[in-house]
Amino acid sequence: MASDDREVILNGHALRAVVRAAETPLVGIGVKKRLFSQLGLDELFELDLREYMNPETILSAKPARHEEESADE
Amino acid sequence: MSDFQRKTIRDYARTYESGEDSPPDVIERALEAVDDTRADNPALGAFLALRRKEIRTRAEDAAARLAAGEPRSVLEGVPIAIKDAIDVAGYHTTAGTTFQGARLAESDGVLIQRLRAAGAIIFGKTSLHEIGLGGTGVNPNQKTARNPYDTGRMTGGSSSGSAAAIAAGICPVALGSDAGGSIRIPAAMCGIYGLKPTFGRIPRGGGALLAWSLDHFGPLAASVQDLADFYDATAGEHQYEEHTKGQPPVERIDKIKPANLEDIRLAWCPAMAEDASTPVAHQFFEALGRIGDAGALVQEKHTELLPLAQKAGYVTMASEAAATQRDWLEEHRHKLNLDTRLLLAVGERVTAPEYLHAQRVRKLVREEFSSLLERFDVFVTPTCACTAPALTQEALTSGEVNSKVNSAVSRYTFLANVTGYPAVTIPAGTDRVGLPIGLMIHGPAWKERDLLAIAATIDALMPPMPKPRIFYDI
Repeated sequence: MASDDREVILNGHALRAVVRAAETPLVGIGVKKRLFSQLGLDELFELDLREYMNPETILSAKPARHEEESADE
Repeated sequence: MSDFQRKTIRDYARTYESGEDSPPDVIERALEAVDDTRADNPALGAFLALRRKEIRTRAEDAAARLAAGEPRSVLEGVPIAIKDAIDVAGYHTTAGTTFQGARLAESDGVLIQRLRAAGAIIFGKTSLHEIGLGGTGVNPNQKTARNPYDTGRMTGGSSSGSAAAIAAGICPVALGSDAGGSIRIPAAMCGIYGLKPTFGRIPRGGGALLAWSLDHFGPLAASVQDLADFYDATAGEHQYEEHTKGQPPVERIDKIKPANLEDIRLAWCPAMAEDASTPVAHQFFEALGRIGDAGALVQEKHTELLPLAQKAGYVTMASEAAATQRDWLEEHRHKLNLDTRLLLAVGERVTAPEYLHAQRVRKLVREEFSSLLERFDVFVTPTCACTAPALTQEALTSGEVNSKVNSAVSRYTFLANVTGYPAVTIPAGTDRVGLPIGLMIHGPAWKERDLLAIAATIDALMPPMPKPRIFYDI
C-alpha cells in the first residue's frame, strides 16, 4: 500500500529547520512521528501480530487459520 | 534485447583473445571517456578517484597474462569500477562523505581481492548517495552523478556513480551495495542490469557498513551475463565473515543457459504494481503480457503482507544506520548533508519496541514470500514506482527531501532486503520521453543461477533500449 500521497518537499531553510528540530532531544520525537506517519508507517505499527501467530513460533507446516478456528468448535 | 549494445565482459574477452583489442588500449579509451565526462557541463559525476598509473600497470600485467595464454578468468583485463563504499588499497574510502576515509586504505576489501584474483582491473571509485542512505544519488557535499539518458535527471541511488559509469559505456561492470535497493534503483533508472544476491552469499569485508541486517554487495552491469560473471568471481563464504558461513555451495554459472519459457511459473501482485506511476505500470503490464504470450505461466496473486516490506525496511534501516554511524556523528554530524542528518536523527529516535516490531513483521513477510516461492519460480514487480526524477537546483545545492520520490524509488526494492532473497533488475522499456523503466525479478534464496537463467529468458522478450545521450563506445 502506498504511503501518504501528499507530496512534501523540503529544501533550503525549511529543511534546515526540520533537521534542527529532528536533532533536538524532545522535539525530535515529534518530528520522527510525523515523518513515520507521512511514510505510512502507522499501518506497520498498528498490525496486531496475534492474528498471525507469533512470528517466533512459525513452523514450516503451520495449519491455516480457518482450520485452527474449526478445531475450537 | 537492446537496440544498441553495450560492450560486455565477454565482448572484451573475445577481442582480447583474438588480438583485436588489448587491456592497455581499452583502459586508455576508458580514461579518456572519464576525462571527457568531467569536462562536460554538467559533468557526469560518475567517478571520484582514479589511480591512473596503477590502473595502467594492471592493464599491462593483464596483457602479459593474455599474451602468455594464461588469463585468470573471463574477467582478465576487464575494467570494473568500484562504489566508494569498500576499501581498495591506495584509495580513500569516503562512503560519499567529506570526512570518512582520511587515511588511504592499506588493503583491499574481500570482494576486491576476489575480483583481482580473477584478473579484473579495478577502475577507480565511483560516487554515491552519502553513506548509502538514499535512493536518489543526490549528494551536494561531494558529487551528484547525472543520468546518462538525461543529465537533468537523477541516476537513482545509492550506487549512483556505478550506474552512470555503466550506462555511459565506460565499463561493463561496477560494484554497488544495496540495503534498500541501492543497486537495483540506479540500475533501473539508468537502463542497465543489477543483482542483489542472497544475503550472505557475497562477503562484505572491507565495506562501509550502513545497516547490518540489510546490506548486500553486488554488481551493476551491461548485461545479465555480466551479472553472472561477476557472481562467479565473488560469491562464496569467507572465513572471517560469520554471515557468509554455512551457505549452500555456490552453483557457478559460467555461460548462462536460459530457462525454457514453458517451464517458468511467475507470480505478480496488484498491490505491488498498480500503485506505480502510469508509464511504469504500463510497461510492467506490457512485460507481463509478453512473458505470458511467449508461454510462461503468469499468475496474479494477492498477498497480504509483502507490501509491508518497505515499511519494515524503513524502520530497520533508519535504526541500524543511526547505530553504525553513531561514533561518526559525535564529531561530524554537521558535515553531513541535510537529508542524511534528518534520516539519522529519526533513526536515533526509533524505539526498541518499534525496531523489534519491524523485525517480527519481517519474519512474517519472509514467511509469506517463502511460501509464494514454493509455488512459483519467480515473483516480479516494477523495480521502482517512478522513472528518474528531475534534479532541482535546490536539491543540488542544499539537499532535498521529497516524500513522494522517497516513497516511489524503494517501494518494491525493500522486499528483497528484508527477506534476504535475491533479486535482479533488467531494463523493460522506457516512458514517452525515453527514461528507462526496470522490471525486477525475485527468486528463492541461494538460487542465483536459476534466477539469472530466468532473467536472461525474460530479458530476450523486453523491448530494445535506446542509446543514452551520453555514451562512449569503448
